[in-house]
Amino acid sequence: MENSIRNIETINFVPIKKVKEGRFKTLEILTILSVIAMIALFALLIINPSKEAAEARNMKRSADISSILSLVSAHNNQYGIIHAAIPKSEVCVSYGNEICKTGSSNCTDLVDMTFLNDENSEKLVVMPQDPLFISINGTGYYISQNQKGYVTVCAPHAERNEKISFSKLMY
Amino acid sequence: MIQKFTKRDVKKKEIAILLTVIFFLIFGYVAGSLKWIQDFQLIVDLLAGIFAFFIGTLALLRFFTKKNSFNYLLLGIGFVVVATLDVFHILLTLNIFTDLFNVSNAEIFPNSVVFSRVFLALTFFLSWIFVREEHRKKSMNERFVLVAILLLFTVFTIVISIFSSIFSNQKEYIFAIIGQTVAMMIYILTLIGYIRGRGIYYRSFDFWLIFSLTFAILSQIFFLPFLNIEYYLMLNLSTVAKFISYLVLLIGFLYSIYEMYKSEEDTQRELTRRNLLLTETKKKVEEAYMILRDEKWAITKSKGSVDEILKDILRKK
Repeated sequence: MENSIRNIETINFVPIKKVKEGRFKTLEILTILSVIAMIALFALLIINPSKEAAEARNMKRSADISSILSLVSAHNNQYGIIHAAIPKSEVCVSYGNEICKTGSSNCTDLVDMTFLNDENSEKLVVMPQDPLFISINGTGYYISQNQKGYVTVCAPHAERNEKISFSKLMY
Repeated sequence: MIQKFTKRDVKKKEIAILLTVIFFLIFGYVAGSLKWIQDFQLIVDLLAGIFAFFIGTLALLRFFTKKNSFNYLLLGIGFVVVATLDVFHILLTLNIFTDLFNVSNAEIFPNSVVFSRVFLALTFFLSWIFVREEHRKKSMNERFVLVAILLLFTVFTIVISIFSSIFSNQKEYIFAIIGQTVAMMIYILTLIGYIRGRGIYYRSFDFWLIFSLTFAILSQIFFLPFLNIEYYLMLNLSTVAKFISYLVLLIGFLYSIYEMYKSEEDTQRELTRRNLLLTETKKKVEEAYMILRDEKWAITKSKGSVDEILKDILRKK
């Protein structure tokens, strides 16, 4: 065996590369790193922090639109009519149905909900905002009324494919 | 049998499998925010069913073309049955042949899926048990150990699922959970068996088989309620993993058939080359013979007759 190695070296005039034992090769390191990454990803999927956070935000959205609907319902009970500012539309998410922010300078093409403020009271009804959706004047929540007397408030920016929408019959 | 691949080649293949798994897991993590994934399951399921049918047919074709590996027959039967079950399940989900089938999808789900997956897992396991290792003698002990582990694990899973409160909130899915967990274990044991067999060093098909088994395990993991993801996402990702598993195996079979024909072609080419060599040698021998004969005639003519030559020889002696 030794002779054959010597012969090859002599013929080729190139010394055979000695493999240093006990050292990790690049491919072995890559394999170990891949296994670690795989385990980490499994752990991430078991905990899934993004899902937990998205669910928490969705719960806030549900609470927000529920409170908006309660305020509209209270207003309707007080005055007996659905306010004209709420646009008539069969679909909730439509152009012109987005609720305007409280204190916004411009509510053009948005639904101005200032009618919910009682003229005799100093208390200001503040419109809640979507936790992720960022807009200058809009809240990210939409409102509409249909011909049957239903008022619908929805949160189209709900995450993880969840549909958040509440409707209430006002008559 | 000659070792076809070096350790470096095998390491590269292992990294390729691991990287694909990592990409799939990343996809699984971000898939919750994708809208299109919601309506994705049925089409992927249909494609997986079609692929399963192709795999079954190709495996049977591979077995009957060159009857050298019994595991191809098992895989072929397994995939044809699974494809039939999958397509039946899809037809029930679509509700288009309601007059033809007396059962509804809700009545058989998830039991039909569980049956199909356990059956396929068992086919894979049996294919490993019957596979002949050309390069080494597979000991009977190895098979017995893996079968014993499987039996113990099955009993353990059944006892834990029934007598503990781990799945108390999913009582209607207990059978499905047991079935899927056992199927997952079967896949894991089959994967261990194939890795221990070191067939990946000798056959390229083993690489595709290990790749496919890895995704079959992923499919089982996603089908079980152990990950913190939504139910629809669980089913969808499990279906996608199953689809990848089938696709990879289909590629493996096609490559295996290609390799088989390629080797036949190479043999044919070698045969033609040797025939040519033989013809050339024959021609040269004939030429040499003709030259010798001519020389002999020339000598005969110069000496006069055969008698004269003989006399000449005797005189010399």
